[in-house]
Amino acid sequence: MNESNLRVELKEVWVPKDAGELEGLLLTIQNEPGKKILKHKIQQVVKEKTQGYWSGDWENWGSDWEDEG
Amino acid sequence: MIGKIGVVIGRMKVELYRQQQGEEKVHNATVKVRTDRYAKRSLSLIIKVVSACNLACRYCDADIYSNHRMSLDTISQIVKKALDYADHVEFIWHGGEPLLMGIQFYEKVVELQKRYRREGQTIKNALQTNGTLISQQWVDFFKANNFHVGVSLDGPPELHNANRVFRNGQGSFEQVMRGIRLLRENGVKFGVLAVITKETVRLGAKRFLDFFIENGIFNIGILRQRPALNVGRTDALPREEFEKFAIELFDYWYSLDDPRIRIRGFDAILNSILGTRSGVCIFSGDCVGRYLGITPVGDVYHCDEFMFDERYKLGNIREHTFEEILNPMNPKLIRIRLEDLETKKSISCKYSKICNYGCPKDRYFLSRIYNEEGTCGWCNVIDHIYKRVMKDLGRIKE
Repeated sequence: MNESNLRVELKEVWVPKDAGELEGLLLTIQNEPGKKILKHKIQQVVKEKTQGYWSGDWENWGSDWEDEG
Repeated sequence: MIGKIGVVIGRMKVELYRQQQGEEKVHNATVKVRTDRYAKRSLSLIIKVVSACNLACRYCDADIYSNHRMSLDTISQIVKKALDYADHVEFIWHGGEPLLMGIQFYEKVVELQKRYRREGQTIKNALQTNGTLISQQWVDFFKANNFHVGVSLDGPPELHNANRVFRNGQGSFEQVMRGIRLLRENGVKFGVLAVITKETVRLGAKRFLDFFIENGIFNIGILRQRPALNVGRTDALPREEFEKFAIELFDYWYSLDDPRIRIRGFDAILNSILGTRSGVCIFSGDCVGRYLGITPVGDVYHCDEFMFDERYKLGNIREHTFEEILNPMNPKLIRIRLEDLETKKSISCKYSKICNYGCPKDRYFLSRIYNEEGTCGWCNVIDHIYKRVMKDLGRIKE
């Protein structure tokens, strides 16, 4: 995507209100081709928001330290 | 200034009160409270078990020459006190090279964790290694004890060997890949951390990512080469070069459209954009008091990134409990939190609610050394990813 082609610049950063809004967004793009990473990520976030952080899954918990050994 | 301090202290008192819910004492008075109303405590400990390494990576800023090794008594105190303090504890085993401590050390650690663990507590173990010493015996141990392993691998041999060398100057690529093969073949959870240097930028994002995919490595973290302040070196990859590389990498990764491939920084930014916890410390915004670095002799710092500066030393685990070290009224913690707030205040970036102002070390120290604006260092990357996500969600149109 060429950013200069964007007709609408966002004035401020949007963040979804809740899991419901995310689920709605997922439904709107579900049948569109591609976007698998985004769809997968939304599914993960919805699951996390509805089940809580400490699911015992490494993908969902852990500090993911930012340091080199 | 006095007003600001008052506000911070006020917040800390509230935090102290909240932290003490569920405990027997609040300001020396015995009270009964409903613990389920309050958030559980979590703690991530970056434990430097040994200050020695079989490698001598050219960009390393860790102490690898003093040869201190953590004693069993010190580790016993860390495990016991951490499990006394927090409901969820993540032990991040670090060095130097943590495998130099030998398997028996970690067997003892696991034994101590079992001994001191209370019902309902969650314990995680992660270990960051250079990968050269991984053997079948280590792999069996990691698997049996559910250790998550992070291996330092910068990319293909010409890239990796440019910096990650043994003390004799020989590259470590072959030995690291042997270790990774053992992890993969035995089903151990692992990821790699790659330092992005000028050599990586020269290689290009596509070849960089293709290398990992071709080798069955799908969990990748990228770190910009930072100045090795501990050893007095200030050379690093300039922020613009890192951001340009990261944007190219994001575009290529996103175009592959394969959710099995996880690049940690991008994953974290997507999490934040979608309104959840980023999952990485640099974008958490609340790392002070949650991530602690501990030296082999038990000194506790606000993160291992600050171990070169005594002002960030919060105590020693042999002399103090985590309750004492993390007491919101601890003057050192107050100073660090004030500094954290102060360095955030000068930043007016619309993406601050995504990066949470980034890592305090980047924000504070790099802005001093390089005169860079005190930001997270990912601003253009976040802007790029955000616009792409908004476009894909139909919230903006081309």
